[in-house]
Amino acid sequence: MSTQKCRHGCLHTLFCIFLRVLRRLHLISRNFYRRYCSCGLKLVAISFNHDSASLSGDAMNIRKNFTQTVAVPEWTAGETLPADSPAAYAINETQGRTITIKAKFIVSSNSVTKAQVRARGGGVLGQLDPQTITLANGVSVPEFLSFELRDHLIGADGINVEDITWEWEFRCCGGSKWEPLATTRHRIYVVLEEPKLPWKQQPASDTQIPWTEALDYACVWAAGQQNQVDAATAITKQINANLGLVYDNVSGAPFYEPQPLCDKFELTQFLAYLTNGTGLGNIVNCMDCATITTTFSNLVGCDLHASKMGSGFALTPFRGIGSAVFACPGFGCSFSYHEVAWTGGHGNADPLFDACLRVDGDTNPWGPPHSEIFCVNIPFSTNPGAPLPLAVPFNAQSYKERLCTNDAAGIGSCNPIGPWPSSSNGRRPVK
Amino acid sequence: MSEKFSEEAYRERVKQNYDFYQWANHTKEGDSNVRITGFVLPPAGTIFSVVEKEDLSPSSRQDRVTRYICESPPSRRIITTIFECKSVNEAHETLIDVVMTYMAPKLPKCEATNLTVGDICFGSHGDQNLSVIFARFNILSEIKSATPGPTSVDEFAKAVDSLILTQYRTTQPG
Repeated sequence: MSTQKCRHGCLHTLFCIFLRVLRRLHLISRNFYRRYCSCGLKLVAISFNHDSASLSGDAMNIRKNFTQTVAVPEWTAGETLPADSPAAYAINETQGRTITIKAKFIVSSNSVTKAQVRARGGGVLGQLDPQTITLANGVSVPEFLSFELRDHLIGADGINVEDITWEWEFRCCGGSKWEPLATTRHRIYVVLEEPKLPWKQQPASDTQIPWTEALDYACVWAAGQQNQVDAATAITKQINANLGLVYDNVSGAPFYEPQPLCDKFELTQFLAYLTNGTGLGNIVNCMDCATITTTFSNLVGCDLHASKMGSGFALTPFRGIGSAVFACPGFGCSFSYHEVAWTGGHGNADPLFDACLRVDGDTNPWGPPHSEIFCVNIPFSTNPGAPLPLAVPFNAQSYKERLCTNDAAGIGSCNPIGPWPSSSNGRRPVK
Repeated sequence: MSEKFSEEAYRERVKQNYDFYQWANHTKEGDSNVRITGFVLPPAGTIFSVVEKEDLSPSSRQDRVTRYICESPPSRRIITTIFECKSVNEAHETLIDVVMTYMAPKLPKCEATNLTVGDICFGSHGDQNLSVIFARFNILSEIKSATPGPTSVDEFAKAVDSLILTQYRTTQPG
């Protein structure tokens, strides 16, 4: 690459156009062209989350996991894997706003003061339009230059995770030909809106900042979903049907909320289970399912909380997580309590999501044949004060009536309670 | 209904379910003043090896809570939580704290499956104990199989109980 002084002006531009024609005719070498019509511009860093106080004009605060942060700038020269350069965007907060990234450049010659830069590709973030940058003393001015994401598609496909590639190009020294600058790869997460508790955005160094290792799963499970109900539905179904989890039929004990307080969610252990089948294993109870559903749903912008019902009620057969058939648990046809991912104020009319089991969805949920439905976005009870037993056919899409026996010991004894006192209002912090 | 009232009433119901007042504050050996401190599982025992150990947040009833992830041949994963409680009585109250989080309204006593460990012990439903919770002195142990399959944790529970008893007996004067 040329290190001699760059020339400027119209004559030099014409000279470079002439050299470019000669280059196209293979009458001069690439190095010869670069010697007179190029400069040693280098891309050294890209920052997606350049304002940790905001998530409307840039990426949100994220970290890799409980112990590892994501350094900003997220990309520095030498990084080649998309996962090593992650960024996450919230559809709701960025909608209609100008979104920018920032990039830093250096040049080998202090005499170079201008250059043009663009990037092709970019997937969901789109290409970067050509932009003239200023350099002084070999470094871009300001050090990190803003590039507006004019062609981004954030929100077009709903929740998403995508590995993108930018092919950066530049031209300077009057050169008329775009030349390769760098190829950068990034993992881009798109969620509905700012993640809800237990996830936080502030302080930026907090361990409850969204983890990319959790986003890697949540954004796949809820891929393409455009609203909170559909996202929570997709995540609930995924947990119930596709993760290999099975119900603790012998005691109904929690595994992923540490005793005795059950005040946290062992997300690090659960991710280990998802990744390699270890962690605390695949046996779960309702508290686990409610907490997993809440944590992953809220990560993509839903607003659920784990909340109890009870206490002590009789069950009609259901299809427990990991089971192939409708039956009572191995410990009998009653729950001491039950916990689900609930919306609103966990009242009778508030819809809930229960990944722990599927209920009978037909007109007689208290007897065979059983026609299963996922418990997604289903009100706890549409008619909580109705005299018992309820009449058949029963057509209401109402949760507790389909979970409990049709009598005072079942439906009559199952009522909303609220979150466990030590559970941070049903949004257990992750660890 | 108030949340506080609900929790207290629920706790009392759980105690009744487990006949708490029949066994609370009783020990089979020594007395209710026995207090074992610094009990830990060895990295490797005769029937298990510890692959991960983590201190958990105690409540006001415990001095220390430690969770061990153990592996037992051929490839069983067993989650064991050791609660070092402030007294025998607090160990028994902690047992209630823990079973309150179980969805099963009641667990069978271990004697029902011929398992004799601890001062008080509850197993799991079914032909074999896939989980066990027992208190020995002020130490509460919760042992759960994290690997599906009908393999009992009885031998593991006996090994843990034996370690507790050994520590107790070797620290007795005379």
